[in-house]
Amino acid sequence: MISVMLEKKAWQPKQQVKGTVTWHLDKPPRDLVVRLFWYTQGRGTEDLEVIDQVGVEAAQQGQMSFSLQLPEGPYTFSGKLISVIWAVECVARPSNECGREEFVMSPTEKELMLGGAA
Amino acid sequence: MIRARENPFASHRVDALAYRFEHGGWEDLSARLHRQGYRGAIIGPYGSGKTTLLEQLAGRLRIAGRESQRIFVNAQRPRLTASQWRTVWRTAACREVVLIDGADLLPWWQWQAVRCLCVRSGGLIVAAHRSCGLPVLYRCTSSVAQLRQLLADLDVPLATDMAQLLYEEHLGDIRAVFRALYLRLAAGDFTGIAGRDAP
Repeated sequence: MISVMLEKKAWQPKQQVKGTVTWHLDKPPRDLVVRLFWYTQGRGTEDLEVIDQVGVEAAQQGQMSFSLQLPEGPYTFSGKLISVIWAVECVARPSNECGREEFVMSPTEKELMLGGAA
Repeated sequence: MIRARENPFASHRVDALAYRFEHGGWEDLSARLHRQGYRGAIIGPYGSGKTTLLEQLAGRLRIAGRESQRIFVNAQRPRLTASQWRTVWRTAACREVVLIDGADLLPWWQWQAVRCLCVRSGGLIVAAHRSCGLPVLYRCTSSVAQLRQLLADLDVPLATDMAQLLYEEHLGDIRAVFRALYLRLAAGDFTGIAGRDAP
């Protein structure tokens, strides 16, 4: 089990995303990494970019606080054809066990809606 | 209108659908694969599920202890890139299974070179519109019943006549039906979708 907890659910560009990751695995991982990334969902091929990442002690269980730097964009938004979603995830290798928490990244700390998407 | 990520026909939802066999099943396919030394072709027309089946086959091969590498060829780029050549070479050298989606689009000489390189690989399985000289492992077909099943999997029950109409309009290409439905829902058109009202 891997869980990611963020201090809040919405952040502004260039802020530090802060939170805690807690893990309890069946066996010690080869490596454990916390990643800050955005990805797209909607029509067509999904896009993804890892913005920042930090290694975690590869122990079978533990807890660690993290702080990851947000860039200026892209903002969290949804339109008819595409949504941009921000998330922090923690992945254990080689099992690929993963915990993930999504959040909103925009100047207003609210998801932007384009073209009448509701 | 609905958010792109919440559209039931968004790529991540469609790609997550389990392949639904029209005939036979995983056991038959596995037995045929084993008999053919993990060499063969999954064939079928556009939108009949070849790519989905190949992708899910890769997952099953991994669980069975056979590593594989997938290579995608499409009509916009109907040849292997330098990086894809390296993947074929490395995969074959490691005795892993080479999976090529769209092998029938490759130029004749590239396909022959791939076959030569893969002689000593752990296998060569392709998804294509024709067999490319490999034994046929499975013929993908589509039907209105299959479309309706997949729509139910997506939790979008279409009216019977609507499913039939869309299936015929898109010549049995289920992926094209899903693309069309994506755009309709994105535009707020929920006509024919049972139990869903336009927001």
